[in-house]
Amino acid sequence: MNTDKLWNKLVDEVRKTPSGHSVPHDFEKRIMDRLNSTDAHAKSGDSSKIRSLDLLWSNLVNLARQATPNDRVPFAFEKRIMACIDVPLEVVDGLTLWSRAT
Amino acid sequence: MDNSEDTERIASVLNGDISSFEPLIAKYQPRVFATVRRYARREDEIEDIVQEIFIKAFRKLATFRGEAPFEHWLMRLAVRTCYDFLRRHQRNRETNLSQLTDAQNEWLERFHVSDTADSGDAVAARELVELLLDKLSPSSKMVITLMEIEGKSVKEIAEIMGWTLSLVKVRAFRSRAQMRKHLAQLLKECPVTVEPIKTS
Repeated sequence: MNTDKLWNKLVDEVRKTPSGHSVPHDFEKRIMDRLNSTDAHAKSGDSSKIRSLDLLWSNLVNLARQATPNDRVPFAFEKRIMACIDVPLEVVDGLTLWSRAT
Repeated sequence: MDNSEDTERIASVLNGDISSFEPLIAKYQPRVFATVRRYARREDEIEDIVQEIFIKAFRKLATFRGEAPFEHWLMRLAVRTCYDFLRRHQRNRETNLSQLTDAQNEWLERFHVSDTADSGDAVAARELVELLLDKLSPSSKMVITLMEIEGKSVKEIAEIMGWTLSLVKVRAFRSRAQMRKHLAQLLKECPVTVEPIKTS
């Protein structure tokens, strides 16, 4: 007797057990169908949520691109920078510091 | 002032004529201000960053080799300075997604009624994007801003930031996931009811 035949024989024996312990004919199939459908439902819910967020994000970004940032420059700002740059880099040696202190 | 004029001005500055730098500032400061406003909000911070950018540009002018336009060199410097600013101020920034303005709430509500874009809502959309970007790490904020808002390619971002191509791709992937998470949080915290959008 090969293993398949042994298995079938076992299943037949189980089905012959008294009422209340019997296994419905398509029990395994029903369980597997239920599991597959639950899994598929969960996956479709997740992907739908991600799609929804991606769509929301892409709409936000598309609109945000239209609102170009303000390029206003404060009055005479270049003068302010030039004032920082124009300060000569003074070479201060020890003797100069000593003479200033006295 | 075209590229050759820029080159002449730069040569003058390098020869000791500091005043030749002023027209360069005047020419490029609007573009630099617009760029910096993408990363900083407070006007005093923006002015300080722009000032830092031009002072850095002046000090590093000798390293400009003239192979690409001065503008590209300056803008790379500007973006990197903004990145330094974000890293320095990372811990000081706290944004609360539940405190949306009326305009921002309206935008989200309108989106749930109809998912088509309406150009009239651009400012509210931009504010929402900024709010979400503030929740990201400095590197994620840089990647999302450069890639999604400014439309730069992976290669361009790698050149600007001095990152490898694979690092940009990894950071972009992670940043999008982070952004999705914060967007979900925003929708959870704001009073709008979220329904999955029909994509068919």
